[in-house]
Amino acid sequence: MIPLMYGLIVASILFVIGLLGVMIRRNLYFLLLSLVIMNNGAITALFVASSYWQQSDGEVLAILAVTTVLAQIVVGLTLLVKLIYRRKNFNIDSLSEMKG
Amino acid sequence: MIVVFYIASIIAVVASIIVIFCRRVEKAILYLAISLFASALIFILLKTYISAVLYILFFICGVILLFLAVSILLKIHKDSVETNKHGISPKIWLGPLVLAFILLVILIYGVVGTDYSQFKQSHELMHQMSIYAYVLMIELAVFLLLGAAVIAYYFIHRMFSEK
Amino acid sequence: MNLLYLTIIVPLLSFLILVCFGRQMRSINVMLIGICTIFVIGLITMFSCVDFITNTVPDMTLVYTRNLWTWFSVGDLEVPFSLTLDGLSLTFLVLISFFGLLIYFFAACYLKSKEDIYNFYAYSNLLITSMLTVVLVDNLFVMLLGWEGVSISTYLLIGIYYKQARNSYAAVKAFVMMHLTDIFLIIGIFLLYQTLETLKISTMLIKAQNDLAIDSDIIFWITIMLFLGAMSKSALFPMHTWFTETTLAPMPAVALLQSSTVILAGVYLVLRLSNLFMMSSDTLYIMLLFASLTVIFASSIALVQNDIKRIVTYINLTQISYLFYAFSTQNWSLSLNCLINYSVTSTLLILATAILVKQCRGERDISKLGGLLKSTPILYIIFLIIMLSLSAFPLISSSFYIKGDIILGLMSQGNLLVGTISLLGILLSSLSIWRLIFSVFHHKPNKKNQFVKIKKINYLPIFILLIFTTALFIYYPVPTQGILPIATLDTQGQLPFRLLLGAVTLLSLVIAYIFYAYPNSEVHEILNTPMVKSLVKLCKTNWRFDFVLNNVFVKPYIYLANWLKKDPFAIWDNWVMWGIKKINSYIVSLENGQIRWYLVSMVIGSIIILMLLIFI
Repeated sequence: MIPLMYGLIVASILFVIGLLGVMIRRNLYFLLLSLVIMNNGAITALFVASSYWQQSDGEVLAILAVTTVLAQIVVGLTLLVKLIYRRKNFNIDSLSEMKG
Repeated sequence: MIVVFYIASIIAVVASIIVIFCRRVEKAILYLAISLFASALIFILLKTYISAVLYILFFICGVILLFLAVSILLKIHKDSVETNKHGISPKIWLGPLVLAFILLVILIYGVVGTDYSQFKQSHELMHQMSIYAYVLMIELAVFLLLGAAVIAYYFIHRMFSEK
Repeated sequence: MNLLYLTIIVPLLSFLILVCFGRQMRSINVMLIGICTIFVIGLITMFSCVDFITNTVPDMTLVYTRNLWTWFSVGDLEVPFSLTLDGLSLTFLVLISFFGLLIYFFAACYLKSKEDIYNFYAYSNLLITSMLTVVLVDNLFVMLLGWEGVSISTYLLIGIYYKQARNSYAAVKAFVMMHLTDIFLIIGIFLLYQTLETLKISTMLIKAQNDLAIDSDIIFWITIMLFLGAMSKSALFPMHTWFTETTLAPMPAVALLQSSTVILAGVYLVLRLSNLFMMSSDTLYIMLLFASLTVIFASSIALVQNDIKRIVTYINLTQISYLFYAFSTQNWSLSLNCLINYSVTSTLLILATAILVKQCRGERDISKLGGLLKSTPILYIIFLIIMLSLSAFPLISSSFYIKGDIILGLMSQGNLLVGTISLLGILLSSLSIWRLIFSVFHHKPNKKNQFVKIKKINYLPIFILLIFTTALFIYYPVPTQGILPIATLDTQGQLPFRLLLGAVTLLSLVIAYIFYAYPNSEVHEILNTPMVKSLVKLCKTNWRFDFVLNNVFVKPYIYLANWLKKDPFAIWDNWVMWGIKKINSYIVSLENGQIRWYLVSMVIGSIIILMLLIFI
């Protein structure tokens, strides 16, 4: 049996790696990839917790999260296509028009 | 069994790191797939088989297919933003790295420092969710996905019609 | 005596009537109102005197008190407005009403312009009101009311010829000087209240004698503060400037200010609180010091001035300091006599000068006058008698006895230096009056003077006053037993000292004759030596006192004001503004539209929140 602690550690490592990716990449495509990794970490945490308590609630929640991530990626990729047609590049910072 | 967990988690972490730092699109998608499969292996080790299968079929396939489709559609092969020769410049990643490290340390500290026995005791008190709740959840998820698909179609359709 | 409150109400009403309607009245009506006012006061004073004398029991102090109303009461502090009449205030009441009557009468004959008459009577009424308030009330706080009234009316009287900017400035200067020094009086009153917890003068004096130690610190500070306050009204040396500014007022106003009212305020305060002052020998010594300074200062300046009004003013200033000599010898009843003598002499001097100036069509420079002996013999005689009084001429003048006693008191206390200075003062002031007489009446005029005919009625107040300067009136029967401590004068050595004083007087006659009567070449030679010249120059510029005053007080004040005009204490205010702007621009620059930066800030925030969750 894998201890809860280890699973949570792996989940948080994955989450932080995804976060780092979001922070350092400017390419919207890679940004979406990093988002997937981040969400993967969260889903992992859910799975680990549900198996720890031997309850299927966590798994259901995890499947819901998976669906959410998919929806998010669909919308994100749509936005990526739109960005390419508007700006002809992938740089998310080219959208930074709202300055203080 | 714990050894398998270690290996799987190491593969997942390393593959993720490669994903966020690499600049070629195909490579990134490949490593993402590896990372996701490694986490699926962890799920199997956790004895949540049905969910793991759902995860592989639904999530990994969906994500990889979507990304691949977009990259082929838009003919993306390389990261055209980060033009630096040796990958992303340290000027950009150093600060976020430090911050992410601090966050990681705190998270792990929080995870390690928690006393798990009290969670174990309290779990009998939890009420049992009814089956209808699960059905409702699934319906919600499907609606969400449907909404996302509609949005995607609408956006792309409008854009093409503009052109 | 029940009508005593009328002495304050009547001049106040008269002042209000004149101020409100005076411009529409004919000047004869204004005069009538003014003189009636002072006449009513005089009548009440006479009644009070009669009452007082008939009710007096030997060896008893008669004190008449009448509560009018309570001004205010805060907690334990209650300030009643009550009038008190005892021997001392009766004396002052008589003095003020008598001289007021004379001067009002003189002004009626003297002033011609409608504007001047209206102004003079209106403001003098205010002055008399406030003086009587000072004299009659029994509470230091209420006395302050009259005290400030005196300041204001001094300002108004000096500024009668307000159309010249110089006069207005002089009035402002006098007002500012008086008010600045009033602060000392207020501090003194507060100190008294703090230590004795009463403001009523009679209880205060009893309490002070019971509770406070002689020559203790607190009594020194109280008395020095009160003395500084009194000094400003009595025009001792550093605060004499308002006194010299009074020369810009019309002559009757000068007489009123210099001789019979404002000076009396300070003197009254010292006399009323004489029990307090006796308890602090240091204060009396400081008094002596200031008086000596004033004597030297004023008499030396009087010697070289050319403006006749200024000469008279400085001579009067010299005479005032003898009052304070009398205080410091603790011979209070003698000082009261000296005060009466001073009032008589100075009023006489000013009125005589007024007639002289008027006769010469407003010519005030004595070097341009001369040879008036033939045209105005009466005035000549008057001036001679004044001179006798000022120079303390033996046997004839009363001031010989009074000043002799004062100086003898000083000498017997061991203050030989101060005694010498006071003798010098007598010498110098008699010299200056001689100089005035010689150059006005004897010397040949540079140009032919035009004379104005003076009516005989103008001389009436002067002739009344002339009687009082003679030796017939030396010691007045002043009913002050029980109020002023009685001092026994050491009569030992009185005779030789009087001989000495007589010798000084004769010496002044001789010197004056040599210097001023027929100045020969040797005298001119002495006058032309560099030292004498520089001395004369110094004296002509009032010892450069105005210069010093300007540099020590006015310039730093203006500098400070200019500095404060820039609001230096509000600079931190600008710092706050600057800081807010800086922070604002910094925060605005944070919102740069870069998703990466937003995420970093989110991470920082989440780190902080996690830390709070975990570590706290």
